[in-house]
Amino acid sequence: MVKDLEAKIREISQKWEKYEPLFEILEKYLNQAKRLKSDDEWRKSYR
Amino acid sequence: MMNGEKVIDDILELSSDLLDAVSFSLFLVISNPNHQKYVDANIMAELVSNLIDSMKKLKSNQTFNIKIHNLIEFIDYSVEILITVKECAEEIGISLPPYLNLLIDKATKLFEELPPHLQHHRYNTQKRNKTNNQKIYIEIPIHQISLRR
Repeated sequence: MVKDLEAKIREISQKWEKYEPLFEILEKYLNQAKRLKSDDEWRKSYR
Repeated sequence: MMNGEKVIDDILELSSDLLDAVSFSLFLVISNPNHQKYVDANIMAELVSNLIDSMKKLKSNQTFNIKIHNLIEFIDYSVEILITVKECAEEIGISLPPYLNLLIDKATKLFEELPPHLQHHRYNTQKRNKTNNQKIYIEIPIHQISLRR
């Protein structure tokens, strides 16, 4: 039974590998958005 | 209370479904040009980072029990992202498929039925309520953001 469950966990991990690059780009985008948003210099140049 | 095997089966099934649902709905919302007015970068960046970390932990060489804990953590962050994305989608005017609500309900029910030693992983909603007043909407031009590695 544990072998079955281990196999299922492996399946989920493999599925994650497919999505991982997209999530990493999204994480980068959100973190940059957060940083830029709070950057006063950037606010000035935006205006 | 659910028995151990059934809980684990449900956790595994739900994790797999949630992974598809979170990917689909999150990218649908973020790819909408109006998302910057409604997506709170502060909360969403934290949730996405935590989701990635929980999956990375799952891939590392852990014991079976720790993997199950990591999957519960993953479900917790996924549900939180789904709820947040659903709110954003409503504000933007995007319709998300009804099965997302079913998944959220299923996860909520699963959390309620978890054995006590697994319950402590469920903490996101409380944390989110605390940070709800510190929203930082993105609202910046997309060309300002570099995604180069």
